[in-house]
Amino acid sequence: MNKLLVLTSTVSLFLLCTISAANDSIMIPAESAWARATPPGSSTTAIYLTLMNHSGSDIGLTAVNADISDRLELHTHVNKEGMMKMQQVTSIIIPAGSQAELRPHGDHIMVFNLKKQLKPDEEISVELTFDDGNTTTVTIPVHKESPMSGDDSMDHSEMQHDGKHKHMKNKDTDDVHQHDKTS
Amino acid sequence: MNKFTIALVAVVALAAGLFFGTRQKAPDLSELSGFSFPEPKALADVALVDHNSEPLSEANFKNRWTFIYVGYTFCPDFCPMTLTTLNQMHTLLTEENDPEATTLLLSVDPERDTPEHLKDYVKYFNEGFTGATGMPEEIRKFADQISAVYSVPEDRSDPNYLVDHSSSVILINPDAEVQAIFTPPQTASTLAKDFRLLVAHYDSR
Repeated sequence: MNKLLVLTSTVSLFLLCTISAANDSIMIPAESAWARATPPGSSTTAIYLTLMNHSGSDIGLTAVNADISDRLELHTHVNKEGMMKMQQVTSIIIPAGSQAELRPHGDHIMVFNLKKQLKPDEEISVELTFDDGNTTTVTIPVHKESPMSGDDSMDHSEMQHDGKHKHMKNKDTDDVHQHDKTS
Repeated sequence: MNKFTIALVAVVALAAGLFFGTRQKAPDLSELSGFSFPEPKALADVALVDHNSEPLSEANFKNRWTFIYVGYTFCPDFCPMTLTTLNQMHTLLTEENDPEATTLLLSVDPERDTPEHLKDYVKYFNEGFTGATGMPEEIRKFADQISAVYSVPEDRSDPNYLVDHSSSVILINPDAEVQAIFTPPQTASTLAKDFRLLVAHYDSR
């Protein structure tokens, strides 16, 4: 438990150090945002990022636009009859004072009709539209493997189990939230 | 009995003891993260095509270990992620005692995944990976044998149609039998650890 707390604090500090503001309410930890590099001939990929909502009301991410494709959608994974089913959703809610994590095996931005192969170390520009009327443009790096330890390699598999992971996420958010209140 | 005979008997006994001693030391499979089939079933009537358009039968699975992932190249998240994990696992399996192991991607989407396209796709993750596909009924027959489930939509009028599929990794032993299954989330290190346990167990049979 102590180890978990230490880890949680470390992760929180790390996040706080590298946060980039998307707009007044939404912040995106810089290292959480990445697009998956594509094999030759592939026309699909996924974009991942964490959205932190510092406002007092829920905000929905409702649309995504980018030069790399004319068809970007918000998707989630549903486990149905032993199969992972990707489903389009109309919005991804970022709860007030909390965060939404778009990451491998979970919610993600689905890219169809890629206009070109995405290669590691390139950057793409992505426009995010929120239901509070805000639109923001972020620059997202392309990686072959997840820059977040514990995603692709998932060597920290203990942290991936739902219960513990959610606990960690909540702790993170609490820390960030409290930080906001005191500042 | 002269001294020589006694010495010979002793040496033979010692050798036999060592031999059977090590043979009987089967590893404890309760430490596995994945599931090992107690009575592995042999693959049968496999009639697929590999990424060079060559026929692929159960004979191709003999004499080496094969990890299989079932998916399709259009898949943006689970497939590239699992193939990345499998590539990382192979880089961990480079110790002297590690037997030959390979990874095969079975595409359940033959309509879009031509052998040529599959080849480019799997080599992107690892030069040693193999892609396979086939006639829909042959794919179904093979997937059933390895406990993989998938669902290709009836309506494929949208060229961007998605295919639902299970995300387990299946391990075939050198007798071309279905040895083990690893459900997600898989990690390179646990797959490598499980693999070594299963190999030791297989060798002790």
